Amino acid sequence: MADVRLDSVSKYFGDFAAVQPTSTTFPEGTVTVLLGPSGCGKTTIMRMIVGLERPTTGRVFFGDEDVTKISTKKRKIGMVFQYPVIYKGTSVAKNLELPLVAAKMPDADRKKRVGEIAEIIGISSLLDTNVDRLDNAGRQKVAVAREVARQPEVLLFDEPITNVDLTSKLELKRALKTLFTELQQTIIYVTHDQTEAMSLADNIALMSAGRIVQFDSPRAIYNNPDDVFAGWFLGSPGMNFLQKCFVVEGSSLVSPLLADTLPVSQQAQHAVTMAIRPEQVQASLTEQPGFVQANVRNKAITIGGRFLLDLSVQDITFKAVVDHGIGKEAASSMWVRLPERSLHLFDAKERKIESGLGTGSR
Amino acid sequence: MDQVKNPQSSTVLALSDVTRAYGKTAVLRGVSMSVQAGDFYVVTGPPSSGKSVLLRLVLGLEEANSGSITIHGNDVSSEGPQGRNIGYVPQSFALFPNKTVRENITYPMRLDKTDKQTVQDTLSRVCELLTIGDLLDKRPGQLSGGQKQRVAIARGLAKQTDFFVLDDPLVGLDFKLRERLIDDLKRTRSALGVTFLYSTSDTLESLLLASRVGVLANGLVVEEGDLSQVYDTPQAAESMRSLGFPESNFLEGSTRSGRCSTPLGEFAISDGVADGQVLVGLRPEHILVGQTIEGNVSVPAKVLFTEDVGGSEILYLDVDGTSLSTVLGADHPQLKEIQSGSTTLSIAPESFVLFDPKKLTRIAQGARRG
Repeated sequence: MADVRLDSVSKYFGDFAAVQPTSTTFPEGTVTVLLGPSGCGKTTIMRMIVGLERPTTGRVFFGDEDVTKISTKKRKIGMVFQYPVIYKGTSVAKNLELPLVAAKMPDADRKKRVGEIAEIIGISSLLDTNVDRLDNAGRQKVAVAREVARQPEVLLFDEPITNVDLTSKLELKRALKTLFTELQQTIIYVTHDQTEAMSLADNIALMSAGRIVQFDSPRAIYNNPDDVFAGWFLGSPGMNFLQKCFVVEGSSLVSPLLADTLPVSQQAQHAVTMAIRPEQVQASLTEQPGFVQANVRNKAITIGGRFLLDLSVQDITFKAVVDHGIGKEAASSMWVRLPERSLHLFDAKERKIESGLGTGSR
Repeated sequence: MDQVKNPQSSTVLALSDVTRAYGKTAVLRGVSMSVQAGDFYVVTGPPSSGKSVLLRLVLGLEEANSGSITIHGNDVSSEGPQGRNIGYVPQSFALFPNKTVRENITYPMRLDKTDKQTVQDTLSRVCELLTIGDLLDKRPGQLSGGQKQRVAIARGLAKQTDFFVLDDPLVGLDFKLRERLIDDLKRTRSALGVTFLYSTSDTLESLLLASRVGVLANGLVVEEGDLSQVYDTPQAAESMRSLGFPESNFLEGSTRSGRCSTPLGEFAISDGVADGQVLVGLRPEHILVGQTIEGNVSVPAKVLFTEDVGGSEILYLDVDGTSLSTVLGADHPQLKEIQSGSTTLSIAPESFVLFDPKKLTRIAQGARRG
């Protein structure tokens, strides 16, 4: 097992920077998910780690070993792809054993390891089954188990649960979660699905336009996005980004969205965007101290029966996710509060500002 | 063609006992439904429940075997597509590769011989609504998937009519793109003041878009109504299943002397229910976790797996071999402890909805008494 380190790694196709110079470490024994929209460069980073793509600049390390010029075959990696790679016409057990036989592992050790991995991933009862008889989810479990059983230094997953139906997706997600928790392997996992990333990752490397824009635990990114993109990409829907709806005067922030003037830091002067997650907007059907009146422009039902409301205060529009009862009763207007600790400020470059909001500091 | 509108009625579309079969396979077995002016009417239901066929009948692309279809009060059952004056956004967005975005969008209006000024006005309006004004001189090959979809929607909407049919236009698009197009579609419908008939089998999409829903199952519209009414008091098991995310839990139950027993426990039920087998529906959000409440059904459960969907956390649970899902706010105070393994569930009796196990229609609900 080893960590994976990128040292100023970039990849250009002609003038196009698929991956801009990037230095980062995928820590040993943890799951890092490369997350981002299509075309953000996540697959290219993965391909450079695997050795299928040579970086234009920089070096790739597995632990202390510089593997930049080492071929894919000689890098100690395991890979799971979108489509399960299996040896057809043979049993599940054979599929798992073949690489171990090739590596001349003693019989007893081999049997033991296959048994253990099959147990964790939930295919023990299928060991004698012909893989041809399995559905896609079952085959993908076999493909995963075989790569895991080889005990590579680094395990890479490229959108492994994209091509299955919803029920199988859940089943695979659960199997992977169990596996990742038990294994403590160095795992790098590529996906564009935020739920998958949030549910499986120890850390998310969030990518946009060839750059890792934030590298942190899922909750940390969700709660404290470093930039507008992170706040938008994570969440369903993402953050509200509100512009031209507040002024910072000295150390005070004033907005028609807020009942009170809020103390802010010096840096807050550079703020052009104020943001809040829809589910952090507090709502009430009656007037309350600290709340401002908002018009209800649209109602919809969302996850868990909560209501997603389109609201406006003056001509500022934003979304709020509220409890079913409140959403159902909401008529043309209601009362809302944007709690200080849930507000974020971003500058003209869409980067986070240390606003001092919600900390009581000035 | 201009339709003569019946001023008495705001009913845009009405289907009465419409059937359609292919050989011996009945796809629609007597569909009745009505769409009112200004509705964002979503036809939902499981995949291959006949949603696309229903839309094709409305559009006049296929003919019904029996029953009637009226648009603005006029029977169009024997009219071809041209006579129905419906705007159409198909599922697969075939844009003309050699034409510019402008030509793609205005092409159907040119076929309709719409006058120049109207074409220009309509073009600017749909472009503004779908924010594609800067793409007009590009060709489809130069557009991203999301841009193509917006152009296709714009083309469907650029028709001089007040009634549009949209056949699952967001299927296969990634999540963030769909989020944006859902907003675009809602805003567009309300800005144009028109009526949408829309099909999808995606639960969240139905919930986010619909003002009214029609639930299609087994070749019938088993229920139609305002979204929140159908959501809160589903009259058919399929309505409860296809409207709600995460999906509702369904359990086998049996009723006896005014009580219902399920794998989760027993509770009283509303009066007049005969003894026998029932299907019991339970919305995930009605399962409270990590607390016990007097008068509720309480049962210990194992947490198998949790899914983080940002603002909320979906929990997959096991109660003695019965699988359940529930959902908690990501800010739930006990989330960490709950995720770690075992917990207690608490369910208000009135959250249980009882359906006839064969007809799958609502027969009763749980009640709060001894």
